[in-house]
Amino acid sequence: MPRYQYEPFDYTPPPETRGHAGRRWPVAIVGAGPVGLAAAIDLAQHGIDCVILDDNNVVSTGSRAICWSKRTLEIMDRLGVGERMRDKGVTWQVGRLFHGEKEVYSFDLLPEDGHKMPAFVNLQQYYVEEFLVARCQELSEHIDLRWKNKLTGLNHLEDGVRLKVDTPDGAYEISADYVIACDGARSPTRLMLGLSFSGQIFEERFLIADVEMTADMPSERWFWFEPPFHPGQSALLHKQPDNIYRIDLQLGWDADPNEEKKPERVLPRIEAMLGHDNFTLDWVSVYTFQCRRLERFVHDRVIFAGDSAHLVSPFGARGGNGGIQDVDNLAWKLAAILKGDAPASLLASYDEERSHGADQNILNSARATSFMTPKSETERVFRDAVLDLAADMPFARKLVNSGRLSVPCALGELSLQAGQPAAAAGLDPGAPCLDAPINDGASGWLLDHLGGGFVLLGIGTGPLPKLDGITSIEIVRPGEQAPLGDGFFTDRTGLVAERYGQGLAYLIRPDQHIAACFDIIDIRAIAQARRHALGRGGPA
Amino acid sequence: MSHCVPPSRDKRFGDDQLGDMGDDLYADLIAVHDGLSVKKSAKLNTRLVLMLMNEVGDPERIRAALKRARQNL
Repeated sequence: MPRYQYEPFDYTPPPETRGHAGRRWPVAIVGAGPVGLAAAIDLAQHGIDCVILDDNNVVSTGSRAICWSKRTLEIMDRLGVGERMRDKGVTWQVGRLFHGEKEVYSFDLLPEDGHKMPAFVNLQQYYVEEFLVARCQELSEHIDLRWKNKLTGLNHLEDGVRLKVDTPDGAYEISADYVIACDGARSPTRLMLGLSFSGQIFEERFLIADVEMTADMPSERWFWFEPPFHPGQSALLHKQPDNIYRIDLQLGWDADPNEEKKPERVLPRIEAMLGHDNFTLDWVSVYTFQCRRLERFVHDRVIFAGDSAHLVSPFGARGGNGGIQDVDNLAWKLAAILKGDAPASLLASYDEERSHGADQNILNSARATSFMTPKSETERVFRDAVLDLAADMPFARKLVNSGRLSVPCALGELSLQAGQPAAAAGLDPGAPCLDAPINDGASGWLLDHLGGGFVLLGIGTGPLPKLDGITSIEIVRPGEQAPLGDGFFTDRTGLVAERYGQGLAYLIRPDQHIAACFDIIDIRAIAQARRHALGRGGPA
Repeated sequence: MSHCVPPSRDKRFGDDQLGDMGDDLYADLIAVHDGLSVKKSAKLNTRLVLMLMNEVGDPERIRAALKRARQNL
């Protein structure tokens, strides 16, 4: 009996199955996992209507994606569920690595204060989906969430896509300007379009289990190479809410996935790890590592996001977090295209920027996987040498790789940022904005005021110009008199100036990435930078 | 990545000098062995040790490395 109470969502027969002519949708989203739901919310917040089709009617079974990074929490905060995720999740920032019985290395992911969101929270995917569904329901004016609606076919039209959908009440068809395929690792949409998914499959199996127990374990990530309780393999322990612990155990390639899932096989392994049998098994699965991607994420009017577009092995928290960053990058661009503010060609920048992100994630995951599961005798000898030297040599500790955890993606040299104005100091174009405490009438946070649309942020610059399609925000030093109210905030602890530089102005994209940075405020240059960020720039 | 910067002499033996390039260089090290038998990999490693010993050039550091490498075998 799982700890989480799975409540099926209501299926409503779609109007099209009751003889009503369906409307044409600006966007149809396939899959109501974290990525599809987040995409719908982001689009709805831009005023774009969308329909979500999901073949099921419950949230994720088992914890699945559990580690949500600071950048994801910031995006989720913009979408209206970040605080719920933070408050329910288990906050952690310290990771410990063990080799045998000894601790060889520990790391602290967020050694500085002054951010609203922590480095990571652990939260089961079913909670994330539950919160996102509730947020979709708040936005029901724009979002039609259709459970038990299964995509069975799709065809490109001249100016859109025709989708065939099956329901318990029969089949129907609808049209949409764009389709976002968020239907996961085995994406039916990808199969329907006959797209190949290429990359590396690692010959290794891992057992993954959620166990419920009352224990006084610290909120840290613990990773073992060759632990005494699981000789020759690796193991991971992570704390989740509701006294649920996540355990990953390497099994080797010869393991039989069906046998290994049986409680009589699983329980002794976990008992050996925990040293007691005072726990209950909540969920168990066996998986194989894969690092694969589509060559292109945009296929005419069908756009792939999340696991349907790219798959990584899980150590590094780059799957779920990568998918949410896809949405963050895509939604504002698609909204701008649908509103006529940007040309359809802006979508190429989604492919470019998120391919860059996917490649970084795949590179890092593949390296971590290789380190954990050496594929040759020589590689194993080197791995073991690193672990041995790590006991007393700092350089070797840094080479121990149990997953390089998800970091936000910098987009510096890519098309939308290349050649854009940059100041001698401060953050570079393409960098994600950093949070910092501000006073916005209360003790607030800078990132609460960035994103959604374009923002011009000035730090001690004096009055900013009013520009079409850009919200201006001016940050003044603490103690300085400012007409508090619309667009004026104080730098509560001085960290805005420290992180962004004093006397600089930034044009910030709707996904909180820096489009351009100015040390002289020039209205024409700012307007030009906005056009460029919308793909209407031409050569700078 | 500049290849002509000598190792910092103020760092203690074993301190990190690879910085952000650690993972990249480790991947290069593994990749150079791709497809080799254990015997050929050992031969490659031997050449590597001799060249890197020359590049380090500091007898004190080389002897410290020799000593540490012999432990816990």
